[in-house]
Amino acid sequence: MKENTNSSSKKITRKKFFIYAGAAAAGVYSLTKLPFEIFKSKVENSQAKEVKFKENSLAVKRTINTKSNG
Amino acid sequence: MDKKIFDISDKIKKDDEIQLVPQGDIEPKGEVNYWRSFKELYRDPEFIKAKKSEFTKEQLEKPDVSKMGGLSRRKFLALFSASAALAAAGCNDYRDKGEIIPYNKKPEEVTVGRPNFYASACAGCSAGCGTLIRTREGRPVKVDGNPEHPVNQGKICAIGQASIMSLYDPERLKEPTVKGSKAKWADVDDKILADLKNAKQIAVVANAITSPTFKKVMDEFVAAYPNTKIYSYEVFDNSTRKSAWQKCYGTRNMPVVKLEEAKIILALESDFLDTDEGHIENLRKFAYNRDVMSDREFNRLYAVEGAMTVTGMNADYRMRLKSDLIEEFVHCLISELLGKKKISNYATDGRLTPIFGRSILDDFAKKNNLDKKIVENLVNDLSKAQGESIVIAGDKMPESTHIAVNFLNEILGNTKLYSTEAQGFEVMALSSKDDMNALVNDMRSKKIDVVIHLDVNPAFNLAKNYKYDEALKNVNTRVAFSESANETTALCDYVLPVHTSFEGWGDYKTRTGVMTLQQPVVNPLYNTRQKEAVMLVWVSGKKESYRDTLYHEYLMDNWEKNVYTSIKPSIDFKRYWFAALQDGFVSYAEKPAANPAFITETFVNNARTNSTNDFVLLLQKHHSLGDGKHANNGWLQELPNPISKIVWDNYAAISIASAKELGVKDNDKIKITNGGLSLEVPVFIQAGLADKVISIELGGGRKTGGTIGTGNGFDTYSLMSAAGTSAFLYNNVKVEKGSGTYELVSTQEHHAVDDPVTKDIQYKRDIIREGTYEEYRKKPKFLQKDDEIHGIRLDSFPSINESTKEHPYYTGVKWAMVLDMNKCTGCNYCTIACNVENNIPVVGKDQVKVNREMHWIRIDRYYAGTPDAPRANFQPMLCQHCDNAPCENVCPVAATTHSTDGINGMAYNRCVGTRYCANNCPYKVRRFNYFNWRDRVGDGFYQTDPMNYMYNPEVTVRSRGVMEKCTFCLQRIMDAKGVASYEGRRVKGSDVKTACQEACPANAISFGDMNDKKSEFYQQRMHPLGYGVLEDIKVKPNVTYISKLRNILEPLGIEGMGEEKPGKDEKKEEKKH
Repeated sequence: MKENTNSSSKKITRKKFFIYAGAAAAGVYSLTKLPFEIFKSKVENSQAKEVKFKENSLAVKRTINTKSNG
Repeated sequence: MDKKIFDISDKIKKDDEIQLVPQGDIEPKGEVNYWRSFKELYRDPEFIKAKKSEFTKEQLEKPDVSKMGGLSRRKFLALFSASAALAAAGCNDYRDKGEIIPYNKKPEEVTVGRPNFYASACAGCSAGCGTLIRTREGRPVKVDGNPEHPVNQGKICAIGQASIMSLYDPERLKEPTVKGSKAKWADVDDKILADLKNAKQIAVVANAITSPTFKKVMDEFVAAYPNTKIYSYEVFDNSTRKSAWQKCYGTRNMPVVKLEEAKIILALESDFLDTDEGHIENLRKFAYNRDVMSDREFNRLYAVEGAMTVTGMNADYRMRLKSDLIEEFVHCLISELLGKKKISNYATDGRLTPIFGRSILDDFAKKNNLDKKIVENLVNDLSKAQGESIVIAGDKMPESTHIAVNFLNEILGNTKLYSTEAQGFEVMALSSKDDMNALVNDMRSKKIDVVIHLDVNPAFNLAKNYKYDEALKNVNTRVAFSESANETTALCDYVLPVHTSFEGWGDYKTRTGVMTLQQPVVNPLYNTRQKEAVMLVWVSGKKESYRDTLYHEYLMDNWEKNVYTSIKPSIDFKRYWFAALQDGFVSYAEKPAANPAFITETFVNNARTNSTNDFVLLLQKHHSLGDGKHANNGWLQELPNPISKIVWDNYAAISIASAKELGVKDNDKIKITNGGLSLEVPVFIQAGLADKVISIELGGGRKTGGTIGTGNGFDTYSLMSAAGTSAFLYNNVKVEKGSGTYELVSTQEHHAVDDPVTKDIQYKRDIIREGTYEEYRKKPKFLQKDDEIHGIRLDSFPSINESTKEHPYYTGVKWAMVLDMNKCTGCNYCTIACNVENNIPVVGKDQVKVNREMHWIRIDRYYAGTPDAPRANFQPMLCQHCDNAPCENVCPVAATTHSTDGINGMAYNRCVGTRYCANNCPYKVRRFNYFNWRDRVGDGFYQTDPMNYMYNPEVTVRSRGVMEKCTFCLQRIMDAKGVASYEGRRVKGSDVKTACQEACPANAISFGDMNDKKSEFYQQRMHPLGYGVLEDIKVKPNVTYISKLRNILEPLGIEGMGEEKPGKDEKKEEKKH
């Protein structure tokens, strides 16, 4: 019968694996959930892409000579 | 060349010889010593040392490599590989964005590349100024005054101009919330309608209601919910003046004062040229009689004040007097003019006789160290100019002072200057102190079930002893309409976002015969609604009644039924409406009621405000932030205070003697106790302030003011109580040294152009030239310099670049500017206009501290005289577009060059940022981008959408490492050239108006073609009072300054300025003989 002479070292590797996996999971969680400023602007602006500019069609524009006003 | 001519070493004081000058010898006889701060006045060694360097120590500091974290080879390679991998991954799915085309379907009203203009109204305060809004491809990019508007005539204040930034503020409220959670408007309407129906008492809190149509909405709301009370308040409400007027004349409608007809003006603790109500109009009317190009006689302005104001700094005669003694001074004047000089029939009125004896002007002047000569001049001037003078007490003064001032104007016959054509108009009277007290008490005792805030912030700007925030918590349904989050929305369950003035409709009436219209120039950017429309929905009780055009239709309907029918124009309503919208206002004949007679009993029974020996606390309107509402606007935060030049903060200004008494210096905190209220505020020692007076601006210290607006300055509303002589003046205040310091940042010593290092000709460089109006009238050329200055012949002094002495290529238009220092009051509105037009970034307080503010035009403020009685000069300073520009010679990459029409231009993409040009600029007007400011300030606040859409597309947005400076609004010049070319003609000087010129309320700035000898501009440039700053170094500046004239009776006594000596021509004649 063969003896498993290397079991303790395998156990250590597994332990290490779980530690690294746990740390990685915690890291990913922190990066996505916690308010790290490096990935996010302080200014909340969730709707920025929706901003559209359109002149109001009910307004009456001036027909002035604009040459002096750039 | 005679070497001796240039040997001027004996004329220049070496720095080592400069000692601290004792106060008594600050201005040796016959000389004038201009200074900007006490450090400069007393030749502080640190200040002298700092002035020697072009850049501050902090600016030159290199990073300390030893303190940096080490980066191993292994780490470097790992990061390098990771970044390469990420970059590769990021580019993997690069989207094809297609071709850039302006529009698939071009909107009818937009022409790509051309601006549209809309007349509208400013909602920055309750003044309702007419505006002209410039849009580009649908985006509003610039706001100016509406030139045709009868009241503000093309000018608006800093708040109005900077309001464009508030539209694009990324922190604006974007959708309704209920208890912090996003909600739908329909759900909000449902819930609030239910609460309104069940409410026993409803309170609506609003600012001054100046819109007749909105007043109608409110009337309908009260009709629908009869248990509603409306409370309208303004922090700066002019209420004491109005209540005094009512007591004196029996009406609250005050006539417009014809300031332009006043020969003598006496301002009593009044800042009618800057922060008091109607200052835009006042500035224009005041400057009208300060025009050297006209034959009109200069007016004479006297100021008596405890604080230092812009008005005081522009006065011909200024006397400092503790603010609670002003009223006594008025009584002394009345006694002198009536009791002694008997200038009016009131002198025989028996009721008044006992009053005269109580106040003796001579004794008062002696006791309070008033200059006897100035007091005599004042009395003589007022006596002579009866019916042509006006006395103005400040908005801050108590009612009793205004009553006394009304009487003084009455006995002087100054009522002739009260217009019979135009009166102020109150759509709805403001609530009284008692009303506001009742509101708070009712909230506290839970009598009020619903409170609706109409874009107001009482939790911040109502006097703190009302304890509004605590009382509000007792109300069941708390509703706040607001553009952005503030201290009041933080306490409300329903927070409803509203349109800005760029997105909504409105009308304003603040004066008889004029109605201003506000129209939306852009569709709403977010899920906001017009507050008036929401109120109409609640009036109807049906949430389905809402539509986007609801208030537009309501406004039109009201105008058709009420305005149109009362004016009765000859055209049909639709044409009338569209014409009114195009003009932005309607002006019609509305004769106000005749000005009633003065009620003498009011003055006889007027209880006087007593003075005390304690400190006086004066709470002032913030020069740029107003009541603090606009705190999240970085342009306004960074606009230097015109007096102290402090940015980003409010502070306690005190006199030197008061500082000594309290044992404090600049930045030390003092503890101010006003009744039961107290606050610690940092000190700024201010020249010209009366002793025992503390002047503080309101509007700082916001706690929920946004990324930019929170935490700057101090919440001085916490010193406001109902116990003052007015809401702004308290004369029983206890002051003691506080704990610690707080650093204030002032630009007053920045960018010095009279630096000893560059003083290569003479010590005094005549940067400021001033004289008296009397001297000018006798000899208009009295301030012109001879060829010789301090013994040195200028014509033999070598030019910086002899080869360009003659400029044969300036044959066409050559652009130049004239700045009239007689009109400039130092208001800084040109700076803010330049900021908006030219996309000038905000840099933040920490960067202003190290001289890195980016303003292209600054107002240099120079004092002369003693710290207690300084004479102030304001000098706008911008790129002078020198013909022999020293900046151009030193640029190694030719990034700054000259155009054929005289513009000193900048090629940003060529600039490599050596900063040699800034070093070589004698005027210190070049600004370097040490950072990408948009990214740096507020963690990318200014490059967050939609802020990016705010910028003027005609002007490059500069980034880090690039030098910039004034371009004379080159984009406007190019546009004018394009228009002229299209019209088949050559461009004219009058075709272009620079942004600063358009904004200047005093019309102090002119711009045009210096080669057009027929133009008025040319005449102005050639005016005998015109001079170039540092013209003696022969850089040939193209900005001409008109010397300052003071309308005083005594000579200024400055050597070389105005003294009787042969003029240039006469001297030449002498030589011939």
